[in-house]
Amino acid sequence: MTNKKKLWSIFGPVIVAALLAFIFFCLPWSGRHSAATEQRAAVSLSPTVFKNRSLKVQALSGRHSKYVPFFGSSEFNRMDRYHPAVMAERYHSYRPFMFGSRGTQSLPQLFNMAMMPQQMQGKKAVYVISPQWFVKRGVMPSAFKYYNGAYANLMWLRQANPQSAYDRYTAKRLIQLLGDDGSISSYANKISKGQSLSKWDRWVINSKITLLHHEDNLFSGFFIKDNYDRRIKPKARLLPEQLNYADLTAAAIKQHDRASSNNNFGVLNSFYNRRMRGHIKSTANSQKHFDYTKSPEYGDLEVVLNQFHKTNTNVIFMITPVNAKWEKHTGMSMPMYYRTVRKIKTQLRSQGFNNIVDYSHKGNQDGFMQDTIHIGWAGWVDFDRQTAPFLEQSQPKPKYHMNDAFLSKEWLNLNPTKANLKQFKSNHQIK
Amino acid sequence: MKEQIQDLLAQATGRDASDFSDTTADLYADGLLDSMATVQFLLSLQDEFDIQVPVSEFDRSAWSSVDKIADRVKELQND
Amino acid sequence: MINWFASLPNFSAYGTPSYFIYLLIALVPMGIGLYFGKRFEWYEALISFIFIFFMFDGQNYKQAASLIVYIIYQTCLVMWYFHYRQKQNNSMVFYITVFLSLLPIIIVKFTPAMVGHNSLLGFLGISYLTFRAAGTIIETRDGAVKDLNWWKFVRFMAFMPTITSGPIDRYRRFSKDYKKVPSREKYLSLLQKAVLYLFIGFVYKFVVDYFFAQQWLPYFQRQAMAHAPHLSWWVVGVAYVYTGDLYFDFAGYSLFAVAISYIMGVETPMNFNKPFLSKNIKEFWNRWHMSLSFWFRDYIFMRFVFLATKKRWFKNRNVLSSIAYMLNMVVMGFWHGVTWYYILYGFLHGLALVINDWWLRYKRKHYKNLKSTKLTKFIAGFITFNFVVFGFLIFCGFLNTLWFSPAAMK
Repeated sequence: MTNKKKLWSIFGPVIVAALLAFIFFCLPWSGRHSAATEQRAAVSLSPTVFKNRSLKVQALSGRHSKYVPFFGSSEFNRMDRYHPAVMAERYHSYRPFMFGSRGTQSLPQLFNMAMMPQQMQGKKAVYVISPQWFVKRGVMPSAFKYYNGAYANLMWLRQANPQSAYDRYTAKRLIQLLGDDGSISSYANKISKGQSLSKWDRWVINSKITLLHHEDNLFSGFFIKDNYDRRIKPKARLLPEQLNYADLTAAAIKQHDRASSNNNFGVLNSFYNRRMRGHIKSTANSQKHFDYTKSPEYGDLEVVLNQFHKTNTNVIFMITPVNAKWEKHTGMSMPMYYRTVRKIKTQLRSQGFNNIVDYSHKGNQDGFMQDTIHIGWAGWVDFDRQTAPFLEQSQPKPKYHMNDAFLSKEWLNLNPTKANLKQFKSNHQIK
Repeated sequence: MKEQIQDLLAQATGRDASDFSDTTADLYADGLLDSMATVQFLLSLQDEFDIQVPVSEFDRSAWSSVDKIADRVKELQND
Repeated sequence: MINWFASLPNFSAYGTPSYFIYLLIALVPMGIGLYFGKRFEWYEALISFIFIFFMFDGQNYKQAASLIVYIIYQTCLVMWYFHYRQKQNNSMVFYITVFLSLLPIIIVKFTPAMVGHNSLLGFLGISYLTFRAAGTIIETRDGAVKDLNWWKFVRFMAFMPTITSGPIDRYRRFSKDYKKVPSREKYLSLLQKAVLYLFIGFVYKFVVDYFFAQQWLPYFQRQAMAHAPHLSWWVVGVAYVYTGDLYFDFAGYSLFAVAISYIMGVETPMNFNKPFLSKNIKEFWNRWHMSLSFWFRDYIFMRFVFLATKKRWFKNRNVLSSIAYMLNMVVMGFWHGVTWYYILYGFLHGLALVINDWWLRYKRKHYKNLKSTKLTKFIAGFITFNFVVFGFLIFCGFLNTLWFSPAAMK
């Protein structure tokens, strides 16, 4: 072989492959997904759906889309027959498009929402808040990274406004959680310092988004967990034809008692076997020191509220209960829990978010809980009773009035006694 | 000289001299020689042939068979 | 100035696929030069400087300052010792020089254990540069390094493809490559290997490791943490998945570093050679992170044995080899960092090497007729692999998080 031939045999295949790959990613692949894929994506709860755009945007686009975004965390994975998706399948005109797994707390949800502002504009949404999110350190970096991706970050950066206290706060949190990763953190650093991104930055961000967009169109329809055919559709047939909440509640309590027969906590048998058996002694009084009243999560919630404000989304909130028997066993302080809920509700109400379903006192109600901190059975029935009318009937336009005092260290670290809350409100002219 | 080397190798490794009868075999690849035995072998070489082999100069690929060792020893003796 | 520096974008070495596009384009003129038998030293220096600059700028600017001071410090030390060694050879002077060379890394490694935060002296890659500098000093003492030029030494220390995480080269080997330009034949075969290594590296780091690092490891860690501080079977999963992550990440990175070195006409040594096929733990260390374990073997193990034998410190050679193994591996543990899990990791591997040696002796004595079959090889490989995985479980520090600081889950 001559040297020229050798050179060609070394680099020829590389050049051809690079060209093909380049052409492949530059082709404007249509990202149309079938209705069945949409259906599966809506309840897959998978990070692929959460981190990408094409599936959720397609499902939630259009004025007449039947999908409503449900934002939350691990409770959505409790798919018994009264799960909102099953109930909607059987009785309602809308379908939940669910965003929630363990660790998708407010900040991951913000980046999720930042990918689809047009789809949320003037629409309705459900937002489930777990007080358990509000731990001292806030969302765990590992969980955040798991549900966060360059696509969402870049989309957020592209519309971030360095003049906005909300965006500066978000940028700071992004750097904290992501660490110094080279590109995203350097843009976020500019925003957090109140500097605009340069033209060149924008050009780079836009071209990266274009590539990610094509990638998303190409691949995100695959590998979606099929919860719909396995766990939702078959259960819809188990529900009676006529919707009667009282009957459903009674049936749900009966099923709950049967399915939680091997323990005294009212916890699903399989959950008990898997996660609790053998740990009962060691967990006694293990949560005495838990404290949810001070957390960066309050600030993260505030930027989510601001996003709802920006997209003028009419939201109904649910605050989750804890299993009362379990908390008694672990010694978690219920007064602390109620103070946490008071702080959350103050933040919501005083800015005009008035649709709140507060379940914090329901943890000892029959059949309400599926395990230690997640609702199920009668809990889901009641959840449907509260949310379905809000989603199906037309509602007055919400009036939100944001106050960035809720981003301050003062608020994040405020001990929410009644007096302190009152003092805070009067300090910042909050109604 | 090769027989001397084989004896020294046998001493350093605690094996039979017959294990080293193939003078072209790769001592490291076959697991006959490890770092520990290498050092002991080097020291005994120094005494036996009155040469100096700094550990730094010891490049495994140049010392990996009985034949090669014999060559190196000759070189060092002529230095 | 610092503000401007801190606001620049940062590109960590081989971090993203697009990094390779910039890097390879920058290397094209050099490659053409080498192909035609010319080494464009200044162009190479410029390119290296730019890429190292982007590794350490942005938020890492403090590290950049540390890096520069560190290289000046080590260069002065090594040059001084070289000149001294031409005239004299006092052991004490040698030991003090080695100690001074190791001093920065000792401070960096002990600072977190002492005061709870990272030392300001530290920068990404300090451990690897220390090996290069200390190795050069040791070889200077042996008289093996016969010419030492400060510019060449700086280029050796700050050789761009390997600056942050090795492989660890040796000065004599590096300067030999560097003095000459490879023949056209040779250079073409280097390029061919480079392309192959780059693509294997892509598969390792950007495809396979994606699943280990992004998908499986966080999943297993979260499941295991749900039982914290208690052990569960998920911890076993963490061990295997972490092992996969570490291997594909590091082997991928090493392939990139070697490939880019080849393109620059320098044959940086390989770092991995199918480590999980090892039949015993000694073989494992001849196949895993080879440039590191060979460094330890040549500069710590062999030198210790050499000295101890010469001075007749130990009567029994088996005692000597056991002590040398333990010393070697515990020092390696400390080098990783002063935490209980790194040190325990080193200790366990030392112990494993001792037991392995004992078993080989025992087998030779008592089971002379035991044949090596596929089955025995499989059993040996199986035991070795699982021990290695167990070692990495300790090494990765997950147990520390699980037991002592569940809230600090990273």
